[in-house]
Amino acid sequence: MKILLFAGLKDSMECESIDLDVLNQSVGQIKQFLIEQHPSSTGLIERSHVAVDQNYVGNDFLFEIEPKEIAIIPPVSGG
Amino acid sequence: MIEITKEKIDTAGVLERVNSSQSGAVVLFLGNTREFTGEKQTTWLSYECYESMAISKLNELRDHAISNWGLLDVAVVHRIGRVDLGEASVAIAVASEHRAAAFDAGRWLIDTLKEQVPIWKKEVWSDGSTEWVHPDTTQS
Repeated sequence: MKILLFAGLKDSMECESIDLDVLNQSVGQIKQFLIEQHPSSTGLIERSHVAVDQNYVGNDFLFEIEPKEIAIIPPVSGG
Repeated sequence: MIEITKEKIDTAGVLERVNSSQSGAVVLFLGNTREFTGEKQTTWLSYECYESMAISKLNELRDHAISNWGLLDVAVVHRIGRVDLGEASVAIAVASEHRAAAFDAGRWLIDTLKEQVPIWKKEVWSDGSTEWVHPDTTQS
């Protein structure tokens, strides 16, 4: 499924979203996979949170069903 | 009132939205584009957001502030896109019966917005270079 990217992460990974099969994977495993695919973005991925259907979840969160929306949220800087 | 806009924020209008005959205190916070960060000079800031989540988070913060401080009303407007020097990227208006709640809630709202709401700023420096701001919260 499509995973949304933003700001510095979108720039460093050079795309607005990526397609990944997330079923039965944890958030931590998905972040690790992204790091392997995009080693130059390691620091930013490690510091990013993940939002599932617009709620923050921890690294232990397991995708037992496919959500509507997943986003990688690099450290925010609004205001 | 929660809003994300590409237009210049009508700051007086945000204040007016929360004002009423009940409100003994109304506090307006504006976050503006500042020209200097130490030695570095900003030309403008550019903001982007994850809009659906930003709106939902801002509504959560508004609901929490209203119930926690017993406020009369809260309005938050965040601008995205280019924000020039001295212009507001965010306006937060808080109305309450007494001033302490309005000041405290306003402070909490901007602090929590900066920690939790998925909005990002990009610095456009005077030398033409650009830089996304991703604060390193693990060191603070």
